[in-house]
Amino acid sequence: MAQKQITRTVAPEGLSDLLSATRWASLALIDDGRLSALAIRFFYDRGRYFVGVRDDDRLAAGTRVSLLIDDGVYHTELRGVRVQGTIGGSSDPPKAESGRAWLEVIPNRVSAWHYGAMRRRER
Amino acid sequence: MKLDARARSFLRESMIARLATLSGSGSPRLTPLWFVLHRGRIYMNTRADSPAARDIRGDARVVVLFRRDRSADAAKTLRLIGRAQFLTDSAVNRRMYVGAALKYHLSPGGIRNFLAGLGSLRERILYYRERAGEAGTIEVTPESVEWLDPSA
Repeated sequence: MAQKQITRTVAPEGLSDLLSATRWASLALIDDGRLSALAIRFFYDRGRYFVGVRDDDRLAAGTRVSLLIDDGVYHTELRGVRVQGTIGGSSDPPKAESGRAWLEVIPNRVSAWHYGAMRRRER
Repeated sequence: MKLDARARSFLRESMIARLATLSGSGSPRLTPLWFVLHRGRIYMNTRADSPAARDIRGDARVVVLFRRDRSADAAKTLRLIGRAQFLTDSAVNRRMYVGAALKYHLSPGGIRNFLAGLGSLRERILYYRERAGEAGTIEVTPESVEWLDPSA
């Protein structure tokens, strides 16, 4: 298939305002052998992705996850970052709220898009 | 299962479906999509070669998260568990296009967004022209729903 000329792909760092402002993200995981998903507290710190969990959130280190931080409703507003990765160890990011255990998501792949930044692909 | 009145009301106010699928390698994958509710089922438009469509062709199990996007209680979430299929039937696609046009393009917010984005109209037209004929519809049949309030 020929490569498309117009792209909505952006660098994740280009959406640092979204990542820094977002407090609720979505997380998909395999829980007890079954696909599951939940809304989860989120914190971003200089290229590192953290999720805040409660006691009843069963997230063991090594769990494969998909973390989605997205924003917007209408066309040019739509933007987001998806992190495919695994749950790392417990870690307390600076400036994150207390009262939750914070786990880092270790990325295998990070993709980002912004429909308001559609442009001709650079050759 | 039949969605109850509370779930239907919540879905009418929700704008984005966060669709969780299972990839061929067994990893979960989340994709945000516009959606339309029709006769108790969820319909989402996407490309036939999109990762979400590929996932569904391999494993029909899905979980979909809905929130009242932009509301003060944005954390309150409806979690829908169901089975999905990818449809290329033109009647289904047409229904999805009409429903999405009314919800996302011809609504006051959609019109405001269109006018504000006129500067990138040429790129938008090219973007969709390049992808013409590749689209289909994901249909999700609910099996159960749960209410989540992670902020509580």
